[in-house]
Amino acid sequence: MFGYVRLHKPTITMGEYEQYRGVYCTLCRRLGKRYGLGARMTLSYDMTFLALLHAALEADEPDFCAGRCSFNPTKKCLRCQNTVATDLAADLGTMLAYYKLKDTLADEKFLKKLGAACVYPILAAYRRRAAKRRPDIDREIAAMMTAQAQAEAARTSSIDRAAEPFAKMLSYMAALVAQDDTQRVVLERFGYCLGRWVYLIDAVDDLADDLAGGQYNPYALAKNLRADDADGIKSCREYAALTLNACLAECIAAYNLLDVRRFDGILRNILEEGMPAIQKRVILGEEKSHEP
Amino acid sequence: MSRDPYEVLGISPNATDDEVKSAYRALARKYHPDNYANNPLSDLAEEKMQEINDAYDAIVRMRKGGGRQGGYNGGYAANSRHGDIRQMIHQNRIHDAEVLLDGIPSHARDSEWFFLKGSVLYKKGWLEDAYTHFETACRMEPGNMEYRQAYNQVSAYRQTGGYRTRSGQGADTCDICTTLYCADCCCECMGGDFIRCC
Repeated sequence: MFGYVRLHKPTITMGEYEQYRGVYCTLCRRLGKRYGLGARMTLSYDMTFLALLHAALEADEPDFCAGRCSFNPTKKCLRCQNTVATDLAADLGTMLAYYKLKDTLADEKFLKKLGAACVYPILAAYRRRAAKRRPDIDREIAAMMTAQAQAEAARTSSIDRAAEPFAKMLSYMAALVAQDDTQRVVLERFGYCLGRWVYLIDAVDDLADDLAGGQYNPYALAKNLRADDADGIKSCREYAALTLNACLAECIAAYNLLDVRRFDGILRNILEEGMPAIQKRVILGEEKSHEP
Repeated sequence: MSRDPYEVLGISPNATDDEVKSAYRALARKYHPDNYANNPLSDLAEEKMQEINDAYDAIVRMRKGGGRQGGYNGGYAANSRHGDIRQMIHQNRIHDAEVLLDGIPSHARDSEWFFLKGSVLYKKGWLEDAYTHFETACRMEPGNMEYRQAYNQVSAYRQTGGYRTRSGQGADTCDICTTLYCADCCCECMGGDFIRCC
């Protein structure tokens, strides 16, 4: 995924920040344990969010203890001893990274393709291992990635249709962490709207590049944009802000119905402050390149 | 009731009446059916609302021995041409409802059709098409409150995003002056001086 689902540092408390880092570090560590050093490169904010959501709903405590970062041993960080949530996120993240790379190989430019081709065998091996652990999930993700590629190949001008496969994938992933049936229903809606937001914000972020390079972009087609139409691009970004707002509001409405056991402050910080802040920057065209 | 009413409202049993009231109002605003109109989660929100209403009633009863009328009870009794489809949408049988709606030929599509189709799209998460369908329903029948409410809710979400908007994050000039003035007063209290001229 793309790293848009992240914290708003200025308003988070120190304690919550430590806990967030703790989950982030544990996820990194579990990626290393389960797949190998290279898998740590697939670490993302999005999967940290999923792990956090999972841990927030779980009955068992995350059981934080003090630890050190193995990349930077001078840095202390918290670590979860209960790794149920981070293990699932690690498996999902590995699969997603593989399918995303496959996508890049299929339709990007030569240089990017070359880079992707170098990493491909490594990620493919990781994905095989992840698929062995969770075959059902792998099948679902593969199917939805295919649906995504088809929707884009068909160059649909409907924003809803373009966002559907990715939104459905996140809906499916979010539902995986449900602890009962009521939660599943809420998480399906939550995941759908979150996935929709992620897909659409990525589309806005790539708008200028896609227009210049002639790649598929749902907003460009919905508004019939051309690369030299500066006014059109500006009003399209304003329109995009409305569509993103709608997704975010739906996300928050669904989240309000979820009774989380812990991490409410962190999750709300991300949903109500982090994501709006990033959305604002993307709309103004200031974002691009997301991971730290 | 299974849960402690104070716990439901997220307050301590020692809270004042005003605190109870404001906690109730904040939660009622959060779970108000208007926020979940046409939402597939509306029944869950309704349960929450009921729980909050019950908790508030229980606390008021405990404290005053009185009762409280009211609480929210929504719902529209429209006489509908597409009653069966409405029923399906209400039961979250979205796919069936959509098949039936799409089977209605375009010349027979009235404002209610656009509203119902909008509801189906909304439940599916197709928020943009839902918005345009609600818009069309309102344009065709401007006096219908049901359509208007759906449209208003979706467009409010589009405008605000449902998140907190914070204003004035940094210190403005007024803040800086006040702070300096206070610092000076404090220094003077202690016998020193921070700003000579005042």
